[in-house]
Amino acid sequence: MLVVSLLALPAFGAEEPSETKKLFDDGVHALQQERPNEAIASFEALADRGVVDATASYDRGLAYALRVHMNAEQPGDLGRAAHGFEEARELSNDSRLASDAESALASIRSEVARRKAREGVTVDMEQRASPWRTLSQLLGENAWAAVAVGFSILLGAGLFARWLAEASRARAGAAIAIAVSAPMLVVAAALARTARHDRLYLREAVVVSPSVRPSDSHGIALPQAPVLPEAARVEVVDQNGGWTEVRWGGLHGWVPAATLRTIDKP
Amino acid sequence: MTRALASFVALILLLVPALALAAPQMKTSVTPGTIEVGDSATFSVAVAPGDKVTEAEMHQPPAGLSLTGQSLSPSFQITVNNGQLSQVVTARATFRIRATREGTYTLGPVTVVADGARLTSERATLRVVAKGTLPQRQPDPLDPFGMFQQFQQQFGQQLDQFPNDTLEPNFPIDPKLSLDHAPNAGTFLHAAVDKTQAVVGEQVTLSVYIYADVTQSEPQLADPHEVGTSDFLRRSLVKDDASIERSGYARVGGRTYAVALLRKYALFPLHAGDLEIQPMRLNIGRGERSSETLTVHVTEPPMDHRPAGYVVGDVGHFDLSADVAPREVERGAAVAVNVALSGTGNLPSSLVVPTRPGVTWLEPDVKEDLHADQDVWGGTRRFSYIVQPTKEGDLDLGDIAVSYWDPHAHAYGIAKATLGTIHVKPGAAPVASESAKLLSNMPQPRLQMGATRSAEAHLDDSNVFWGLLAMPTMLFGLAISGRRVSRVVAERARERKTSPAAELKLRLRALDAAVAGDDARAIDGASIRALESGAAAHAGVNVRGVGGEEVASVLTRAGVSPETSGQLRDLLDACAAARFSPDGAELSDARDRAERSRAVIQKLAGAADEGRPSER
Repeated sequence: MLVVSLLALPAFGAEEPSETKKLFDDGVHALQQERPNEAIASFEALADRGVVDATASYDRGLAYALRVHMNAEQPGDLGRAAHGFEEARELSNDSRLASDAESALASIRSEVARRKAREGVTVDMEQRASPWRTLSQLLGENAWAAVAVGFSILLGAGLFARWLAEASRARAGAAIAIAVSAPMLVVAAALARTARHDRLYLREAVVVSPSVRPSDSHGIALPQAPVLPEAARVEVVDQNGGWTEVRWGGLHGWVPAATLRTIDKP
Repeated sequence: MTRALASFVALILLLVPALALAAPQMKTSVTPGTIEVGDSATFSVAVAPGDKVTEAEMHQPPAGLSLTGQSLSPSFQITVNNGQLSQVVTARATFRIRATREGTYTLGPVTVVADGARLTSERATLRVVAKGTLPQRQPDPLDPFGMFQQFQQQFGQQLDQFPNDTLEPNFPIDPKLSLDHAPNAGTFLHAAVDKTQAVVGEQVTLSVYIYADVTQSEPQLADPHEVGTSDFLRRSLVKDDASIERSGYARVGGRTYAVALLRKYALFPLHAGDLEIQPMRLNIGRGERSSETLTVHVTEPPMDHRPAGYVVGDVGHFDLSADVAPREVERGAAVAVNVALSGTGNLPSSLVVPTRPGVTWLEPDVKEDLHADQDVWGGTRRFSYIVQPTKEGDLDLGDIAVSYWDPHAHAYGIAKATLGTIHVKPGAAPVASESAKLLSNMPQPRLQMGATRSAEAHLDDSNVFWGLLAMPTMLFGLAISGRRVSRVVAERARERKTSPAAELKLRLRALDAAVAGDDARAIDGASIRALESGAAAHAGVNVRGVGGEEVASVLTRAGVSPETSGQLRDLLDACAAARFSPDGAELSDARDRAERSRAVIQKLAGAADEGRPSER
């Protein structure tokens, strides 16, 4: 019995990747054959199995976009396509894949904006993050951490130079180094800290419903609040039962959890 | 004679109550008193006490009536009267009479055999009227079949006339309905599910029963509040939710209850979790009754071997069939595709159609025939699609498939219908422009997985990073502090070196060295310097250069005792005299003076330690 179990172990371990690969290959094949429903079924089955892969997300986005292209669109397809591309961008280590995902995303969002415009609503699909967050994302967490270390060393050197040097020019140079490096150290460390916080705690999602009207915490629709457009990338603040609290630009409210799809991160 | 007559009368008076107590009482009733032709009435005779009743026979019913059934059953009651327990047995003979002709009939009498004696009951009258003559009884929405009225007619009115109303006729008990105890006396609700663990979409059958104690009067049912099943899709398994279906009789806590089914639902869980079924509530006239709150543990079907395209919630056993007509059309013409999805469980309300280039599927027309069959929900949904081919040639329409989880087989299944090929001939419809289609500028798909970033190591995840970040500044701070501390230490050391106490130590060491030598002048010189240092260290007085009597007075003013001051002065004088004597001094004398000098210094030190104020 034990021997049989031991022999079965490698086979069991090997089953999972092969099933994953088969699902991916089936999805790609269906995509190439212009059969979006089969492709969607395969890529969604991969996602159900917890497979986090930039290419699978990207091809899933293409499958949904293909269904729209073939005039067989289901409600939410544009949002799901956008989700696949957003996830691919987030996960990818391939700059060309990320670039293709970004251009596909732009097409999807312009289609959503065009439809909204036809309804008489003007939406800015790309709601910018706060300047501070934008700055923290500019260089990335490790870069800001390295910059902070550099300014820390410069500050230390300046302090020692100012203390030990006797020549007036050297002391003046040290004073300038201190004056520059001290605030820069604080800023760089804070940006690294923000980037780290975002990496660990920031959850984002894409709206996968044609339009979502945000409500307050009691489920009452917010007056004057704009409708969240399909394919918009929102920040998830909190969750409670079937409701999710989101932030999108200056908009802050609760929406049904089923209208969102969370973006996986590495 | 008179005495004998009086004794006889007294005996009779004593025996009459006893005889009266022993004689059975018979009560006769017929319910209802008036019926229509074709209906039935119940003629019953209750005998109390009836423990000795062995037979009951009714006189042949008159023409126009027929006897359709009869029974004889005892019931027991224990009463407590003035602390004494007594048991009363009532025998009930019931005769079911069916009317076939109009008229007024006399029923009975009924002859009862009790302990070998034959007892005859009174007669009762039954009126039979033509069909449709009696006013239509307004059905109670909760008791349209008059179940509880039947109780009332059959038992309640008669039992009220007996010493108690807790008589329990014998009923066929259904053990499946029996319970250990009743949550409420008299009437209560009871809810039960056929399973407490299910997967999302699997049917859970919920039954809600009403239990009524057969010996109690009819409950007045009103104000029903439905069970709360917000986490489930709910389908009724009975044809009419407003009807009450008698389920049988049950023993609950040693008593007999009539049980009726109020509700029966197929519930389909909508999501995973511990889902609650909130109780049904009902007013019974004597207060509100509610059924139990039930919980069903719901999970998703297993991930292993789950087919692509499976939608969570599709549970049951499904079959698909399809027909396509016509198979040969012109471009742009309509092809009818009729798909029938049948089976048990919660059938999906939509199908995923095979999207192919050159084929447009329009929204389907859906018709359904869903119902319960032996408490299992299922049926057929028919989807009628119109398909428009936009490309010429042979077009493969593909397959329609529905994956499902079969809870009985514990496996996934796939219901599939192959649609086959249609031949599309040239038609008048315009060819759709490819560029006019939406999202025609999408990039190419990727064929290989694996372009995913692995989780990066981050500098700032380590506390060491934050320590390193602060290190240069901290090092500078440490350097500044270290320098300051070293300065303070050096200052203090320097101060220690130049203090009178430190000098005294040096002088005493020099004195020891001189005493060890053989130079009397050097010993005296060292003694003088030791004494001067001693005065400076312990009395705070510099006696150097002060001569003669002045030394003693200066020391005395500084708080040194006159005796010690005198000794110090004398020693200084002696040492100076010997040191500068032209003949020189004896070595032993010089050593003696050195010893005394040390003693005086110790006295000064002792005085300083004890506190000068006391010396003063």
